[in-house]
Amino acid sequence: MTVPLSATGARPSAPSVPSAPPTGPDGAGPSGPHASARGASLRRVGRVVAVRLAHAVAVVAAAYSASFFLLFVLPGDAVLARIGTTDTVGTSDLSGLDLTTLREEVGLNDSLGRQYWDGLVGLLQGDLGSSLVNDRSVTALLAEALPNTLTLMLLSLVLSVPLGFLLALLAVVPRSRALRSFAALVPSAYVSLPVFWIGVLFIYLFAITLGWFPAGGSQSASALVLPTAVLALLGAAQFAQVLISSLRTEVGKTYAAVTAPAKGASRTYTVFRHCLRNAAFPFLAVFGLRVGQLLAGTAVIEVVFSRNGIGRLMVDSVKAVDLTVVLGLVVVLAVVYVVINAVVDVGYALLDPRLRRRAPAPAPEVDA
Amino acid sequence: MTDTLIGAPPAPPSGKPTPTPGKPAPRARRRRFRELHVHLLLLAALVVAALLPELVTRHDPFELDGLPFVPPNGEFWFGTDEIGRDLYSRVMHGLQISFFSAALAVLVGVVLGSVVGVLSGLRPGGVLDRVLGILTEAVMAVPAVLLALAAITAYGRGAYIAAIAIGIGEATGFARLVRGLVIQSQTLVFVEAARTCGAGPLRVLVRHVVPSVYHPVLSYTAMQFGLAMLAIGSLSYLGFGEAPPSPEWGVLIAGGQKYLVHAWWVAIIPGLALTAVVVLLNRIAFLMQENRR
Repeated sequence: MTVPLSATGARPSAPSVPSAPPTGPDGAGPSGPHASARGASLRRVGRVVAVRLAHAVAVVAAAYSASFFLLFVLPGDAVLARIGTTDTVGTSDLSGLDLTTLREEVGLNDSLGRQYWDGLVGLLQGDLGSSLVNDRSVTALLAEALPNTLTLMLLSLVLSVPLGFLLALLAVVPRSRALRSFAALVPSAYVSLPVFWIGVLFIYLFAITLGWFPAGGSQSASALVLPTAVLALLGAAQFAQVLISSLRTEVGKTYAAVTAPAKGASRTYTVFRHCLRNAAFPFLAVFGLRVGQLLAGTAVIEVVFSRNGIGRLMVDSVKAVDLTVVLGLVVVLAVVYVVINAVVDVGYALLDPRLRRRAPAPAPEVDA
Repeated sequence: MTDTLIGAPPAPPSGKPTPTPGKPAPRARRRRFRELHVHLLLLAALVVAALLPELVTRHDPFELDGLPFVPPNGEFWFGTDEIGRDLYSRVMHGLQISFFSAALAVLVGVVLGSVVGVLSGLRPGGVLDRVLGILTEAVMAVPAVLLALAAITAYGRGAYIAAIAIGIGEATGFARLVRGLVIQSQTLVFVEAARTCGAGPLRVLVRHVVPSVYHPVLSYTAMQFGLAMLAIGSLSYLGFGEAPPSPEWGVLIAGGQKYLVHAWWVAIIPGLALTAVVVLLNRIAFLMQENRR
C-alpha cells in the first residue's frame, strides 16, 4: 500500500485501485485504439469489483466474529435473562424450571466453537437465528423494522446531498466575506449539537409551541417531517464540511485562481464548471463513511420521536439481553455499511476519468 | 498526491512549517494563538468544575430545594426539575460524569489507535498491516453507538462501559491517522538521517517520529473528545448509560422530555450545556490545526 494517500485517511483499499496494472495485450499507449482501451478499462473495473467484493466479505466476517465473541463469551446468562422477562414464563415460578433444558432448547449449551460455526453458516444462508426472548426469527424482526428506518434514512439522505452542496457553495462563492464565513460556520456548529437533543428541541419548537407537526409516532406522513428534518440537516452539515474544505483547496489552485480569471471566466463559472467537479471526489470518498453514522443517528432519532424501526428494536433487544437480535443488528448494519462503501468505491473507479481513459499513465505511486 | 482523497481524519500537515502562499498573515496568526490560549483556559476551568462541582454550585443535586418546575431565576439559574431539584447544580455535577467518561473513551482511542497505527504503519502493505486494516474496517462498519450497545448487552449498563466501547470505535480513526503519519514520516530527512546514523526502529520512532507527528494527533483528540461526549450522551439518553437519579446530561434530557409541555428548560438547558462543551472542544481542535500551518 502506498504512502501519502492513506496518510490523509483514505480507505486503505483505495490506493490499490488506481495502481491496478494495465491488463490485456493492448494496454499499450495513450494512442492505442479506442475500443480496446475501453475493453481494458472494463476489465480493470471488473478487477476492482472483485477485489472490493473479497474485501467486503472479509470485513463482514470480521465484524460478525468480533461481535460474536463480545456477546457470547460473556459473564451474563441469556437464559436467565429470558426467564427474567415475565411474558415468557409468566410467574416467578423459577425453582421448578430446568435451566439446562432451556439452554439446550436455544442452543446455548453447545460449545462456543459450534455456536460460532452454526451462526456463520446460518449467516451465509441468510438465517440469523431466532430471538432468545420471543422465539421469532431475527430476519422476520428485522424485515419488520427495516422499511420504516430505510424510508426515514433514504429520505433524509436524498434531501441532505443538495442541501450540503448549497451550504458549501454559499460558503465559497459569494463576494461578501461575512456571508461566506457565516455559511462556513453553520455546518460546523450543527455537527456539534447532540442529535437526540435537536430532536427534543424540534419537538418543543414545532410540535408543542407552534403545533405544526405531530411530536412522534409512525402512522401519518406528517410525523415523518420533523425526524427527516433533523437527519437531513445533520447529513447536509457533514457533507458541507467536507465540501467546503475541498472547494476551498480547489479555488486556491492555479487553474482556478490564475488560469480561469486570465481567460475571462467569472468566479461563479469557475466554481461551478471546474472546481465543483474536482471537489466532489473527496465528498464521494467520505459519503460512504458518513452513511454508517447516519444509520446510527437514524436509530437514535427514531427513539426520540417514538417511531417504529431499527432504533426501537435495538433498544428493546439490548434491554432484554436478546443476544441473537443484537448480533443480527450488528451484522445487518455492517452489511449495509460495506455495501454502500463498495458501491462508492466502484463508482469512484467509474467516475474518475484517469481510471476510465488512462492507459498506463503515470499512476499514483504503485503498490508493490 | 497528498492533495486528493481526503478521508475522515484531518489531513496531517506536512512535517515542517515551510512558508506557503496560503499561510495566514502574522497578525492573524497571533490572534489565533491568543484565541487558542483563551479556549484552553476555558477548558481548564471546565476541568476544575468537573473535578469539584461543589465549588461552583450552592444546592445539592439530589436534594429538593424548591418547588417543582420553577423557571430559571436568580436563585435557581437553570430552574428546577419535576421534583424541585436545582437544575444548575445537577448540570454541573453531571459534567463530571460526561466529561470523565468521554476522557476515558478518548484515552482508550488514543492508546489503542496509536498502537495499531504504529504497528501497521511501520511495514505498510505487510501481512500485519493488511490484517489490522480489515479489523479496523470491521469496527468502522459497525456504528460506534451500536458497538457500545453490544458491549452493554454483554457487560451491563454504565457510562464507563459505554465509554470503553466508544473508545474502541474511536480507535479506528486514530489508527488510520497514526498509520498515515508514521508512513509519511519515514521519508522525512531527519528520520532518514537518524536511521543512517544507526538508530534502531524503536529509537527512531520515540525520539524522532513521535515528536514530529504528535500535533495532528492532539488536534484530532480534541475533536474526538467532543464526539465521545455526544455518543455517551445519546447512550444515556437511550437509557444505557447512568441510571436515572444520576445527573448525567443524557439522562437529564431524557427525563426532561416528558415535561416539555410544562417546562422546556429541564430538557433544553442540559443540551445547551453539552453543545457548549462540544463547540469549545471543536474550536480548540480547529485552532490547533490552524496554528500548525
